[in-house]
Amino acid sequence: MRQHHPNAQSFIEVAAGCVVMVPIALLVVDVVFVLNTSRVNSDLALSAARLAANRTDDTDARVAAQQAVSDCKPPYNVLSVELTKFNFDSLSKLVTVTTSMELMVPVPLPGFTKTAVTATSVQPIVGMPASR
Amino acid sequence: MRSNEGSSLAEFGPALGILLLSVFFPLLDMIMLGFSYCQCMTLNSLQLQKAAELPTAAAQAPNGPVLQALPDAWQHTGLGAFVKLTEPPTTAVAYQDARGSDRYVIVSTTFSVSPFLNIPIIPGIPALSAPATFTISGKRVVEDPTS
Repeated sequence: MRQHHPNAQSFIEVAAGCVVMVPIALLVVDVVFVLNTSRVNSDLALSAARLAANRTDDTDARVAAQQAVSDCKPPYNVLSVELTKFNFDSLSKLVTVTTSMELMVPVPLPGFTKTAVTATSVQPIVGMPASR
Repeated sequence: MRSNEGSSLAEFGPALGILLLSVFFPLLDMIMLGFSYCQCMTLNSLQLQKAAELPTAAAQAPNGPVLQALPDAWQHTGLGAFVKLTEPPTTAVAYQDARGSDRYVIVSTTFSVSPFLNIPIIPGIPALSAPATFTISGKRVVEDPTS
C-alpha cells in the first residue's frame, strides 16, 4: 500500500482554505460598499423629500426634489443617481420621493458586478397652510 | 536520531504567539475601529438632527447643544462611552444655500480614536499602534431656513 508523505499537507490545506476564505472576504468588502451607498441614498431621499415638502405646488416641489438629486455628490463607485418616483399628494398633505443609485462593486465577482439601491422618504407638506 | 514525537508541542508555542500578534489582536483592533466608527456616525447624526432644528446662532454656539452638550452626553452614556478617544471630538457647523430660500446645514465631526490594544510592532500605523483620526460629515435640510 502506498503511503502519503505528510510534509506538504499544510500547504494543500492552506490553498484549499484560501479558495473558500478569499471570496468570502471580498464579498464582505462589496457588501460594505453597498451598505454605505444605501445610507447615502437614504439621506438623499430624505433631503429631496424635505425640500419638496417646503413647496406649495407639484411642479415646484418636483423641481426642488430634482435639484437635490442633481446637487448630490455620491461616492466614487456610484454610476448614476435618479429620482425614480415622485408623488405630491395635496389631499393627504404628504410628499413621497424615491431615489435610486446604481453602483459598481469594488471587487467584481461572477454575476455581481453592479447593483442598485433604492430609498423612499415620505414627508408632510409644510409649504402650504393647514386646512381649517 | 531524534524522535519526531513532541515536535507539535514545540511548534505550538511560537505558532500561537505569531497567530495572536499578527492576526488575532490586529483583527480585534479592526473590529473595535469599526465599532468606534459606527458610534461616531451616531453622534454626527444626532448633531446633524439637532443643528437642522436650531437657529444658526444656537447651532454654532461653542457651548450649545451641537458643539458641547451632545458630544459630552455621547462620551458619557451608552455605547459612545466605550469609544477610546484621545481628545474630545471637534465639530464644525456650516451652511450651504439650496434652491430658493432653503438651506442645508453641514456638520463635520473629527474624532481621534486610540487603538483598542496597542500593538507596537510597527509604530505609527493608525488603529494598530497609533490613534486613527477621521472626520464624519453629514448634510441635511434646515427645518426653518428663516431662523
